[in-house]
Amino acid sequence: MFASTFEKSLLIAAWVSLGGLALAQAPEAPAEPAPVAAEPTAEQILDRIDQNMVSESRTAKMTMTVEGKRRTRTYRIESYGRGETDSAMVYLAPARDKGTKMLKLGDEMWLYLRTVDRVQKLSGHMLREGMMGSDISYEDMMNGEDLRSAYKASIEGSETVDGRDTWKLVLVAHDDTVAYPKRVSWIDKELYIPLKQELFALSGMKLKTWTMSDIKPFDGRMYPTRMTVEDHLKKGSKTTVTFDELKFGVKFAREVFSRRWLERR
Amino acid sequence: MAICELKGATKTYGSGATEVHAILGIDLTIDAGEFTAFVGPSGSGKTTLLNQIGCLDSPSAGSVHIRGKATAGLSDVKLAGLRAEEIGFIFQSFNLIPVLTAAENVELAMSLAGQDGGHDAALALLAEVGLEGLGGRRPNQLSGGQQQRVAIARALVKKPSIVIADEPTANLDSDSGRAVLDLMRALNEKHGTTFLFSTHDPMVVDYARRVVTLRDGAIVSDERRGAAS
Amino acid sequence: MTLGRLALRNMLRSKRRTLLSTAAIVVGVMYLILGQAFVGGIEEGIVQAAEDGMTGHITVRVDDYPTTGLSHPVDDLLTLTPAAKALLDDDARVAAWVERTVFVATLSTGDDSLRIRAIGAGARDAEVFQRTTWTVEGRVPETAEQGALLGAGIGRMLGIGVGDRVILRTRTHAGAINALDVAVAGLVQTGNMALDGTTAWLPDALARDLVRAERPTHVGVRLKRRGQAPAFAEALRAAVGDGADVITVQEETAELLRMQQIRRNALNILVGVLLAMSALAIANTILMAAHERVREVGTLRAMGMTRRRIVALFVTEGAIMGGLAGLVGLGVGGLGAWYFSENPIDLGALMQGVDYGNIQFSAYLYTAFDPGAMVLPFVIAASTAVLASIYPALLASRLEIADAVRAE
Repeated sequence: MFASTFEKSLLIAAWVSLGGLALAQAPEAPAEPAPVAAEPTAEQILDRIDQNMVSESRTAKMTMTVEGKRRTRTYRIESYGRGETDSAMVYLAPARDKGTKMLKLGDEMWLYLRTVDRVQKLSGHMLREGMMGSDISYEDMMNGEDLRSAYKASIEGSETVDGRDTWKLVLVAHDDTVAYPKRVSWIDKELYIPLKQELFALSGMKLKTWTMSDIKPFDGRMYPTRMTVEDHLKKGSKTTVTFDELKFGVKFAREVFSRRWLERR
Repeated sequence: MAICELKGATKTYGSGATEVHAILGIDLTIDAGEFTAFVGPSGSGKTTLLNQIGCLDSPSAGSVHIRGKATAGLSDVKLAGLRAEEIGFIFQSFNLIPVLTAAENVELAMSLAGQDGGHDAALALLAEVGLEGLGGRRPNQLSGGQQQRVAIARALVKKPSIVIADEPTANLDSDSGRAVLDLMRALNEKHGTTFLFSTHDPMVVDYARRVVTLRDGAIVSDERRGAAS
Repeated sequence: MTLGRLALRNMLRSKRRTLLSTAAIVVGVMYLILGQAFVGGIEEGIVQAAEDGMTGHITVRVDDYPTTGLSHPVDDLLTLTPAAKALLDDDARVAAWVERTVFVATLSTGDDSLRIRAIGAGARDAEVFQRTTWTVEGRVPETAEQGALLGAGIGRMLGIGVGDRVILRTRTHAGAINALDVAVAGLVQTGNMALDGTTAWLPDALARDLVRAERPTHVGVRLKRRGQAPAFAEALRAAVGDGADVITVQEETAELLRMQQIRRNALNILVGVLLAMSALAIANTILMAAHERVREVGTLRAMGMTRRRIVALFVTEGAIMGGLAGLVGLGVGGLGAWYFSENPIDLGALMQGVDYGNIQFSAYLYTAFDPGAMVLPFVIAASTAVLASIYPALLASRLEIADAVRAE
């Protein structure tokens, strides 16, 4: 198995909140046999997905491509993750955005825009905006729902996605407060990664589709190195993130996860 | 009967080192019906004296009485009232109000004197000075001689005690001047109005029955004689 | 022989000079009247626009509701107490009242999207928020199936026409994301540019379906007369209790009207300067006149006119000049003010793309035609003329008679 690929870096957090990440401990996965002999229940699958939160420190370098109807932009981002709730991100490219930073500590999120040299706390509707105009919202990033407690799940059979065998899980939110009232996830039976997720509005309209692919061995683990998000309400809009580097067990200076780091040039 | 009496009348201008007595200690009596010329060079006090008699000013010292009323110490308003009732003026440049007709000019004198019936009186007097029918004309539509006649009518309409004429013939040719003097003498004889002239014109002096000469603020001669023909 | 006749004759003596010196007064009075009328019209426009567009005579909303920008949270909903409901239903001052659900949504055409303000309200909405300046292409939807009414500006920006379908995406009161495919029932030009570019009107049922709120975010009230608002608001405040704010349209527009006061002051200063100039012109004219009429003044005084009457003579001339000029200015200015009160100036082009926050402006500039208010400028003009002539008049009266009568 592989540990949380994007753990507390922005996209790691997104992944987690989207609940699509099978975050098994890396050492665990190969060592243990398949956890269940028979087909697991939906709850068990969710538990596996939820459980796999690694509290290690991670850094990653990724490339995010935001495709829109009019233009496509490409960003290079370096991310850091610590614990379950803290993550930070620095834009490395393009030159215009270089130096822009994001910091998430617990439930709070700040953005430092280098172009205006100002730290802004994100709240309310701003969290729902797409990050850098991408289809991934800041809210999607925040460590929001714990799938197991937020959703009632049921398995609706098996399907093949991207050449891999998956369970199709239908998740319905327990109450109205959950952002995405319904999700349909296709979970890789072997890796417990959601290879594809569809997110629905309360009315049942399909809002977004997340896919994970290009699973590769990385630092001894199997990770999807490519993630795409499609916003169905915006034609031709798609965001793709690819991971170029990933390191675990990194030691951070304390100030990386602090407001000071955010403001420092 | 004395219509105007001056006793020790003095008018002083300036003060201290620059003090000037325009007239000094003048005693003079003017009777009703006089036709008197005042002569003297400039600076003689002739103008100042006539200003005092005409109630344009009050004496600094001494007294001036018009029909028994003293002018000394009177306020501007009271002096104006006195002038309006008692004094008529005739000027060298006629001094008619240009925006008013001849009749209106004459009427104005009546209304300033607080007398009614100005319109009729004006027309009557205009006829008397030989300008019948010209009442509706404006001064710029009248000759110099005609304008002076209007002025005469204006001066007389309110039946003043004294008419003061300041160089009345200076801006008229000799024929017009003579005609105006004839008119004034006729009015003087008919109505008994006192005429006082300030003049350099020998023709005027000829018409006068009394000539008062001034020099340096004092009367140097006071001559009564028969009228010229 | 009245002073009036003398004064009038003297003024007519030199018509050109009289005209020139009074021109400034005419212009000054005209500007003051027109300026006042336009400023008054703008103020009325602001209040009217607020009344008709977003606030009615009185708005009730949740405590601490944001008042700037496009922020309309549906986290806190309004609870109308029974006392408040009773007051709204029974009080004789109330003409109509309505509940509204106001929220922010993203409107998508698939190609493009825009954040808009959505207003969901029932049938009585039109009684509270007047639609006299509305021009609707298509129709105003009444049922959820009929869809939404969009501001014409939105239609223009996103290339939407009547009959197209759009997706409205928003958050429910609880927090879930909701999105509905909705028909465009109509496009509306409300006459308020900002409203047209940011707002959509939804039938109550459609709004509730999107936002899943059982209680409204706002209550709008229209009274029989705007002037009753402050008193009624007091009563309503008592009935509503804590947790909700009761705002009158006067309070809502106070900030903007304060800016108006600045404009008024600027106008008054400008006109003050104009009138000062005209006062100088008149003083100069009369001074010249007095100078030319030295001999005349002397003669009048010799004839027995008191100083006081001389002053009165010249001041009368000034007063007549000022009065006539004032009347002319009044006539022209008044005519202009009346004309523009019926035929407004269209500011449409100038107002595009400006954000006025939650208060909208009408694109049409009317004047407020108030005959009573025109008396003051006239009085000011006449008084200025009178005051301006006092000094020259005094000078004229102080001349030495003996010298004056002999002047050239």
